[in-house]
Amino acid sequence: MSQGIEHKTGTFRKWANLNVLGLVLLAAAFGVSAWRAVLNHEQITERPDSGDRKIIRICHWQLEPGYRNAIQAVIDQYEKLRPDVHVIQIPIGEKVYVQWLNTHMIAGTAPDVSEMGMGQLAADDQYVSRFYLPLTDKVDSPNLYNQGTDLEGVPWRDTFVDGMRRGYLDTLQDYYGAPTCVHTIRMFYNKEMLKRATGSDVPPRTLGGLFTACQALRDLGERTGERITPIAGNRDCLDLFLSRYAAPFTAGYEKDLDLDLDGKMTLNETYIGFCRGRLSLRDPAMRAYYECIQAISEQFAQGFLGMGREMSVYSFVMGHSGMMATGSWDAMSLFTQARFDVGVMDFPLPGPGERWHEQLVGRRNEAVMAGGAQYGICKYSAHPDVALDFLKYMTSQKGNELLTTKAGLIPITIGADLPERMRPFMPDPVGYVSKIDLRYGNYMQMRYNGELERYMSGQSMNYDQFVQNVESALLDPSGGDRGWAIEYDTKVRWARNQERALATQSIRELMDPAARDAHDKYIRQMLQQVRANNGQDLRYRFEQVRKKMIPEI
Amino acid sequence: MAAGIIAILSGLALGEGLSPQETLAKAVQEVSCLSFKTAYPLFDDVLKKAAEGSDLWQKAVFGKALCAQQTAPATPEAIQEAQGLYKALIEKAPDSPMTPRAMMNLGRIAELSDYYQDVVDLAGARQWYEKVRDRYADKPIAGEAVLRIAGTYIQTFKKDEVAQGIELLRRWLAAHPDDPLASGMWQYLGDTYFFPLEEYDKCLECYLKVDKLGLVEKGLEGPFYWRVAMVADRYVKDRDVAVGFYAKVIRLASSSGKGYEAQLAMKRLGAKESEIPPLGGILSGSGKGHTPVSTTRAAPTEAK
Repeated sequence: MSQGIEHKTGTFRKWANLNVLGLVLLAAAFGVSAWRAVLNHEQITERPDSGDRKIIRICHWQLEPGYRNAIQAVIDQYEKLRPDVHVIQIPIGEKVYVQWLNTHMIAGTAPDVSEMGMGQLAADDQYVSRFYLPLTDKVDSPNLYNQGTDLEGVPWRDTFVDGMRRGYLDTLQDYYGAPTCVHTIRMFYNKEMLKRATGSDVPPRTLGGLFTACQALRDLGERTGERITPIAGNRDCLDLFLSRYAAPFTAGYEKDLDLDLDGKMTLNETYIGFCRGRLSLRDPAMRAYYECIQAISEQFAQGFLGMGREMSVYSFVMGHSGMMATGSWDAMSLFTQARFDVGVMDFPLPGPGERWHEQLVGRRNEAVMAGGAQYGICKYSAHPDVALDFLKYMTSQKGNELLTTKAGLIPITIGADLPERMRPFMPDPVGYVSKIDLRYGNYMQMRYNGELERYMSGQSMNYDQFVQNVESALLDPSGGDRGWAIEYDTKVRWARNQERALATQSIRELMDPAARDAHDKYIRQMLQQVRANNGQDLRYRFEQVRKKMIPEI
Repeated sequence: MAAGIIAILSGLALGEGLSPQETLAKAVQEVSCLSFKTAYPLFDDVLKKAAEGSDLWQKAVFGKALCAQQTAPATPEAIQEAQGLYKALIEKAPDSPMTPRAMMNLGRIAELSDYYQDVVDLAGARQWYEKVRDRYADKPIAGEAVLRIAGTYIQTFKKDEVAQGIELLRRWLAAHPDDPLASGMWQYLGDTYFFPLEEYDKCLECYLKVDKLGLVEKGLEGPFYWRVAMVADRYVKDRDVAVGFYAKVIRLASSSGKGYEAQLAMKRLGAKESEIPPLGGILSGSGKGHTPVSTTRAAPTEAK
């Protein structure tokens, strides 16, 4: 008997070891994973429609907190209006979205509605025209879901803040997508920490006030022993500040540098201005701009250039930083993840009497907005009419309001109400938009970025050295002149490539009786091409300014 | 078996099993997706089956030529093939609706550099465009041909040739004020007077005609209005025109980002400032509790 027990115990011991346990766990994990894969596959490919309900699917890569719930809320409302339709949401992680969508596009199993802009098949003209439904003939009719609002009878296109510009592809001369929100950039701050540091949770209104608050935050850290960085910075964050302060300091150059009077200073115009002595990095405005950003970057943590966005968000929400700069797309994440009250403020400019105030032109305006989270309809959708209908609901005043309120985003539909918490993100049309950019061509981009990082990190370089290095790079044969030659080559190639788009329209006009839009598209593209003079304006101007032939690349 | 499957798939790709009309429709569809390489064998397939000179043949030969011309990367052989096919169409079907376009495309081949070290031949291109203008003088394509001829002169940026291009367009517009391309032609003239000629009075005159006829490129009104306002303001000193176009920037192109600066300019010119329309109503205070944006406050943000 005891021998039998011992034998059984021995057998049990023989099997019950860690290897077997690992194997069982592996098998279980595989089983669960396979089960999930089958379920997901069914969810993606489930056809035919269930009962009397038509099924459509929508996929996106927006996994930020709140977004999936927001889409689901829109779906729920839509299904109440259209009980004959069932909408399935398929959120896909950003890292695999491209492969996932491409595979399904090619396999013909792509969701009816998908977020566009990431991956070749949802971004390149050639593939977009193959896999997405053109919406051009739909955008001029009113969105019926706007009935009873002030948008009733207004063409769908004109119900978007940006006139649906983001959804229009110039090369294809067609609308392919409908954006669902707009984004602005703001500074977020920890109200409680600011109050502890300065005695008030009112955010600084001037740049001088910002630096004072940063010093108070440092002092708070020293007093309490807490690890506090005034601003949670990283490489992207530096770019945000650079971009945000460029127009306020450099818009004044427009009157001298904007040669074609289109209201912008292109890289080419900037370089011409530099060559003609109308722009120098030693100018007070340019010096003020860079020194101001450098002073701001001193408020970031040491080694911020090596940090990613996630680290900044972590530092801020964990209460290790008093402020951070990011876009409205992160607002909901910060509001929900932080265990303190998060305030939002605009980027403060130097106030009267403060350093750099004399070099300031004005604030940067936010009128030039492009829509975000854009969705298109798969050309091979079984129910393109339903997919379009859902897209129209999502971008109607009510639908868009619901989506953006739940997701914590800024609506793109005219008149859609802005959630209270998002009011500080309202785009402001007051201010300037032109700015100087010196990154003309690949070489300048590389050299400028390198020098800028060295200067901004405060290591081994003062402003004069920065200027000397950047200006000598611009005058290097590989610098501005080569950037110009590359732009010339690109424009010549553009003119040639435009020929392909024209060929498409001409054959549609001649051989496809249904292509009633082909002629107008042809005319628009042809005029664009003629007016561009095959890029020869760039060659001619180079010869005028540089007094030599444009280099070959 | 594998070879069989490949053969079947290749056959399907080539449109086997389809009628020539269906294959042609498939080829057109492929071209619509910019897939010239895929469309080429389909047009070739139709061409083999079509009777020479027939409607189907005309379409197939034009389509095949166009695909040879546009397949990337372009090669000297493919361009030569395209030229041969276009010329065959012109010769064998002079009255085909495809023929004027084939002639224009031969001009395009001459005008553009299609492959490495392909030489641009503006005079050769001009000859083809002139043939289209003269042979199809009563057809809309004649206007396009005139625009292209003018382009071959203007793009040289040589004073005499630019003047020739301008003269050509002006004469055409005087004789054909209602040409469907009139607005585009006036715009091209205005652009040329602006640069390289720097004749701003004439530039403004042309742009005002464009504005009257209506801009062809919808959605790009902002930069156009801004330029007209600036030319009138800075160079021609025509206050009224400048004020009118600054107001258009504010009212009709508020998303151009120049609304605020247009307001400042109007103030400088002593005109009554227009209000910048709200950004799509989000900022409008459209009865939903928004705070209306003051568009007359000082430029620098809260700082000033």
